[in-house]
Amino acid sequence: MLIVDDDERTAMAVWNALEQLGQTLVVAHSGEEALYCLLEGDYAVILLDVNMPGMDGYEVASFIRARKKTRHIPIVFLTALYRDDSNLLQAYSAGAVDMVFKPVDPLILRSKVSVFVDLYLKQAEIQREAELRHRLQEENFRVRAEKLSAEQALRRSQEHQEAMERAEAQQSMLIEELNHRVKNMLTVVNAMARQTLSSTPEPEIFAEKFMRRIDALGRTHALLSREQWGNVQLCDVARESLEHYFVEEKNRVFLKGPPVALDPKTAVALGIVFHELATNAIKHGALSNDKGNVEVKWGMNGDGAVALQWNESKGPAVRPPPGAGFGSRLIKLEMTHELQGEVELIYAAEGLKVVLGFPLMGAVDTAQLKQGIAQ
Amino acid sequence: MTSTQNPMVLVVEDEALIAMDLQALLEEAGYRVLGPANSSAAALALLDNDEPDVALLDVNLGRSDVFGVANALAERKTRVIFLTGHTAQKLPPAHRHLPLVAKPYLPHVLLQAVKSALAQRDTAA
Repeated sequence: MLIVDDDERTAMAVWNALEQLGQTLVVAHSGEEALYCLLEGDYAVILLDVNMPGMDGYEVASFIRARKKTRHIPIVFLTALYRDDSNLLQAYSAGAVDMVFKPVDPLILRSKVSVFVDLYLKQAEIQREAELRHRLQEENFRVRAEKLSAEQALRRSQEHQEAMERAEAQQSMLIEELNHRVKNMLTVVNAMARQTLSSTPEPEIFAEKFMRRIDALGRTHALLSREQWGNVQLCDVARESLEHYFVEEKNRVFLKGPPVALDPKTAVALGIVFHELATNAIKHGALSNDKGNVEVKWGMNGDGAVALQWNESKGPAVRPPPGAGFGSRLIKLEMTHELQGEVELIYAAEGLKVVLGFPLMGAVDTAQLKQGIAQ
Repeated sequence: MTSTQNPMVLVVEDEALIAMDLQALLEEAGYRVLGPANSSAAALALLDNDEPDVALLDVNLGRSDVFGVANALAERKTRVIFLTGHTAQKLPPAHRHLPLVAKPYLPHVLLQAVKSALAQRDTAA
C-alpha cells in the first residue's frame, strides 16, 4: 500500500490505521515521490492526498492512470475538503475509486482499504493459479511430446529388430537350402559311382566313365551358376554337355533349333542325357569313326512341350545293345522320372535315332522354393 | 502279401539317379520295389493297388514335400523311413519320431534301416 501525503501527521495516522492489515506500507511525501515509488514497486492500493504542494492528487492520479503498469491500481483519495458534488466528480473523473475524509477514521479507512487488499490478493492468487495452470499445461505438452518421441523411437527400434530377424531367418533358410543341395549332390555322386561301377567293374574304365559323368554334371552346374540358377538356353546346355566332342570332333555335331529357356532341373537332367548319348556315339555310334556325324534338332510342340531329335548318320553298322546298359537306363529315367517326358531309342539302319519329348516346367520361382524349405 | 513273397518297399524320390540307385540297392538285397515314384500324386496312385511293407520317402520332391504320403501311410501297416539331407528338426512334429536316413546314405545303413522297420512291423503284427 502506498500512502501519499505531504502532512506527516496524516501519513502517520493512516499508517497506524492500516498497519494491522499486515501488508507492506510505503509512505511518499509528495506526488513526485509517489510516482518514483510506483516505478519500482507494485501496489494493491494507493491512498492519495488531494491537496499537496507541487503536483496535487488529481495530477498524480492522471499520471497513474496514464501508465499501463499502474492503470489498474485502485486510488483512494484522502481529502479534508467538504464532500460537495463538484469535488467528488473531479476526484472520480481523475480515477478515484473511493474517497476518505480527513480527519481519518481508522475503522472506516481500514475497512475500505481491506476490500482492495483482499481484491489484490485474490487477483494475485488467480494470476498465480493461471500461471500454475499454464506451467502444468506446458509440462503436460512436454511429457506428451517426449512420450510420442519415445514411442516413435521404440517403433523404429522394433522395426529394425524385425528387419534383423527377417534377414537372419532368410539367411538361415538359404544356408539350410545350400546344405540340402550339397547333400543331395553328394548323394547323386554316390549313386553315379555305384551305378557306373555295376556296369563297368574294371577300375580304369570305371574311373574314366565316372569322372566324365561328374565332369558333365559339373559343366551344367557351372552354366547354371553363371545364370544364378535361373533359366538357361537348351542350346547352351547341349554345347556344354557336348563340348569335349565338339573340340575333338569339330564339325561333326550340328545343333539346330529355336531359343528354348530351361529351368535348372530340366537343364541338369537334359545335360545328363546329352552326355550319355555323346558317350555312346563316341564309343559305338556315329562319332566312333572319322566320317559320321550327329544332328541335334528341336522345336516346340503346340502344347508347349519340347520335341527333340538326336540323329546319327554315316556311323558304323548299327546293332542294338544286348541288354539295357546303364547309359540307356539313365537316359530313360531322366526323361520319364525327372522330366515327366518320354524317350524312344530307334536303332535305324542309317544310325541311332533318339526321339525325346518333355514339357517345360516354366521359370524357377525362388519364393516358392524358399517357402517349400520353410515348411 | 503272402509269406512266399519278398517284402515290398515303396520308393519315393524325384532325383532320377538316386531313385535308380535305391531301386538297385533294394532289389539286390532281395526286396521288391514299388515305384520309384517321383511325386506324392504318383506315390498315392501306387498305394491304390499295393500295400508295401516299408516306404522310403525323400522329403523334398521338387517344389512340394512328401508328408501327404506319410500321412496316408500313418493309417496303414506300412513303416515309414524318411530319406533327407535335412535334419530331423525340419520334419513336422507329427513325423519327427519316425526313422530317418541321412543323405548321402551308405548302402548298409539304408538296408539296416529297412530291416529294422520290417522287424518292427512284424512285432507290431
